[in-house]
Amino acid sequence: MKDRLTDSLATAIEHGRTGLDARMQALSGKLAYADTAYALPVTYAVTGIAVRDADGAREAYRQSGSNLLVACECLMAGEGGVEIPYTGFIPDAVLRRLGYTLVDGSVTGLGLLVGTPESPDAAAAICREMQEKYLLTFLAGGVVEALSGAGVRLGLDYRLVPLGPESARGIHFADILARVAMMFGGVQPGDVHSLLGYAAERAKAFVIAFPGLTDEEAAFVDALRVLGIPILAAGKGYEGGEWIPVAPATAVRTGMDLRGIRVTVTAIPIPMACSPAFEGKSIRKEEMYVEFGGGRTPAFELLRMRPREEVKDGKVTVVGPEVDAVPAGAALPLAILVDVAGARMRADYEPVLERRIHTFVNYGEGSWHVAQRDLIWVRLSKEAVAKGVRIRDIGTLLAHKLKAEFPDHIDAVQVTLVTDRQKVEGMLSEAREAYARRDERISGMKDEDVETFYSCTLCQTFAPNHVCVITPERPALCGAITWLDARVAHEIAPAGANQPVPKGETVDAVCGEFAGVNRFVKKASHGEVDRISLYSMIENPMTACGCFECIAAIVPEVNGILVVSRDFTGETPLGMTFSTLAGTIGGGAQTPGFIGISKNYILSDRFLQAENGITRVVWMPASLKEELGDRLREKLAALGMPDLFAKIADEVSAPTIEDLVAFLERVDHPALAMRSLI
Amino acid sequence: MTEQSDEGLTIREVRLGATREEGGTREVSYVIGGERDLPFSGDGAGRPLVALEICDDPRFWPPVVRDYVGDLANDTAEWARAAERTYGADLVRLNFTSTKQRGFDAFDAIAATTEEVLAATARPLIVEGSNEPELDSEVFRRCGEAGEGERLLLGTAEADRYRSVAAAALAYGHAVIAQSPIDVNLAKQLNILLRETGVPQDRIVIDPYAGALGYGFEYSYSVMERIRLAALSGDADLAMPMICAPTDTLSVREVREAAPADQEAMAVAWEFYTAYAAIVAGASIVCVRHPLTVERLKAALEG
Repeated sequence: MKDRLTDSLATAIEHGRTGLDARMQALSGKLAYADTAYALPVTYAVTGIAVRDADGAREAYRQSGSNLLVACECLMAGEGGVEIPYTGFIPDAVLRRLGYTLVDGSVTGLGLLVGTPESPDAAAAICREMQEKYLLTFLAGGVVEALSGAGVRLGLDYRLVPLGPESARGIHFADILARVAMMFGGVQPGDVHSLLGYAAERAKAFVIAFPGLTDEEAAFVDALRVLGIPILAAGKGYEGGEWIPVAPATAVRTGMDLRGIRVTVTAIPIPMACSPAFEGKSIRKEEMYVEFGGGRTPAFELLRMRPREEVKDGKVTVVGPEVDAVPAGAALPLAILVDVAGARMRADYEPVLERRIHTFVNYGEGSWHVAQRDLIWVRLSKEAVAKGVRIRDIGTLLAHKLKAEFPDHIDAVQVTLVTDRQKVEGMLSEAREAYARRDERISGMKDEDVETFYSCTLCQTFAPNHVCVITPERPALCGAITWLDARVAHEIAPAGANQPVPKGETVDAVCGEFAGVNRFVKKASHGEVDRISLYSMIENPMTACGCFECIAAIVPEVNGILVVSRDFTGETPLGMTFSTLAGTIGGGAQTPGFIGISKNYILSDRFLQAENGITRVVWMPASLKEELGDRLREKLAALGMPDLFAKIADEVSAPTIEDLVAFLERVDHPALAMRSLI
Repeated sequence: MTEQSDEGLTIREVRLGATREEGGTREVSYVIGGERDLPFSGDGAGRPLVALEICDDPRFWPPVVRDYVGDLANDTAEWARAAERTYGADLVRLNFTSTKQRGFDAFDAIAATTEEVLAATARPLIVEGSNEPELDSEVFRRCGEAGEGERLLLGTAEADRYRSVAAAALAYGHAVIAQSPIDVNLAKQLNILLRETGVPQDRIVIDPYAGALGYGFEYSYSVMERIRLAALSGDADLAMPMICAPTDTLSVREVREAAPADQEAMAVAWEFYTAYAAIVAGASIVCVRHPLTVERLKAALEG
């Protein structure tokens, strides 16, 4: 049984090929389409020959290596036109408009429906779905009559184009693709290679085949596969070949998934405005109707990657009381659980995408969000709640924005909002485990484990020659972009500000100088900087824009390094404040002895390793020491110097350089005995 | 980063307008670009071009220009004709300010106006399409189609809205203005995006975005210099000619609040010095709105 079926489609295609071949040999007379500058477009694109008559057609067919699309086109050009409402061959002028919508993005992809559907209603549902997904659909064969019978309106305005009553008229789908490639893709006639490339990458198309194709029609449809077009068999009779069997209900989604077609919807159906314009607006206590977290109630947010079948796209669920069930000024617990799925989604992206929850919630005119993970604090305003905004709308907002902003990575999003205290508390431990796993992932990554670092030139707007080089162990100096973030940013915007930097040969392992990094920095700094060290503040240190969280500076009197953070407004023992120091090192200059860094870099194993790293640090503001707190203690303990934490002076123990010298001598700081820095 | 040659580059030549032999109806076509040196230091390029801006809905136009042109403002085609024949502009830049109206849907008028202005002018045409992202698709298709074969310079592509302009350029054979907000890297990024959409590099003109003199123009000047220096030292993605349209010039306080008798002179002076500075920074086309500025610029450039 199976063997016979295995043969059937392949056999049909072979029969069809023989039949088409024979008809090509018998073809006679003039061949032409009206209103086109591309002769017989498929044949022209494939062979470069502008066919005018049967002999020319046979020659082109021979040169094309007996390409069946060429044969079908030549045969079709010898037949007459079609009656209204069928369009037949589409003239160039109309096609230009269709192609325009494809480049413009108002059409997301192309579909061809051939054959005769078993159920007209199922076919109508397919067409509706294709319309909803902004696909332009061409129809050929019995499907046209079936759809008309089911009351579906056809025509260009409806993005459903009836090419002809026979499935063979579907060849016009191929001539459309060929002309779009030549008109818009710069594909030269006869350049098959670039034609195939264009069809595969730009013209995202798929075919849905209903039953009832003749052998010749099956052979033609099968030939479309060379253009990278998948054939979905929606019905029986096409087993045993390369066609993909689908149920009619899943045909469109399968086709879109196979071709990577995604739809972005810009209007979000919630009763409040949503735009970056509202991002900076806070909701004060008096304006607040309800709040979540912020110390009053347990609250957290967690974005998880899930298998595609476990995520129902666009689904929003609220578990527990809605906001209208509580009086104004109340506080509710909250868990924001975002499940995403996507063919190109990776677990690494979870924290980057989760961080966007903050941004997106703040886009809402009446919603506000601060902090992250299990520290979140969310408010809805009285005004918004009066307009009908509910916590459910936050879910809808997140689902839409995530899909719209990350169309290449997210195919489906579902959001669950939990306001039930017991349930939220019950889920907190799972969330905390997830956070810990992530921290481990980036904290476990070493510079030597990767071959590629990333650049950031976001700040060249005001520091024209500054280039940040971001490594797993050295986040961007602003603290906002880790190596993983930069990698994701590059995937999302390949021409953007974060570019891959191949490490290349190691020039100096201790200073962290790499030949590839030097080459990159030279180009990206417009020739200004030709060498940088990633782990040194003396030998060719990295330039700084102005966004650094902290400044590390050499204190020559004590042979040590001090680190001062932006929030510290007092004077350092160097006699300068943060802002005075910042003024001397920013703007994209290399300033040996001074360097802009992020807070997390202080805890890195690579922290200024050329200058003995953390063991050389003699002074930090108390606030920074406290913030690094346990993490710094752990780090020092791991280095076998648990007492070093107390030996780092601050503005209380050592406000001036004289105090600092005295303090360090008193505690016997190791920096005093290290090799001289200068 | 894209590959860069060690040799210095030439700025790409971009052809604007098409004569009958070239498939259009213009009496002349222009080639801009081709520089191998900084402005005024080599012998490569021809004289920069001066475009006079006009619009299809004068309600959205500076009063000082409306007062000067009078009734012409209500007849876009006549205004365009006067721009070339009376005021001596090298080319016209047609702005579809009508798209600023709420609920705009007169798409047929876009096509008709484009055709009328093409009929009334003999030189290449710059068309500034829609002011509203939602209208882009329809507006650019209409003006692109109406100008098919004429090799218009279509504006304006930006990083988050370039597809419709690019599509119109590809479908109907036009060139594109690529505008970025005073940032050399964003200018480059947009050029790469356009290239990936399929727009050939020799059909892109960079608009670095310009403020008025005294109101931030120095940033634009500096970015233009850097774009040009990067291009000449080998960055092919920035080696395009530049267009500069400091459109806020006529609404600066000094012009708005000038005594009625001085207002016109002040407007022309402000436009002139801003535009001239843009030329010094490397612009191949400068766009101005007051007819008298055209004459003054041409006199300065030719004198």
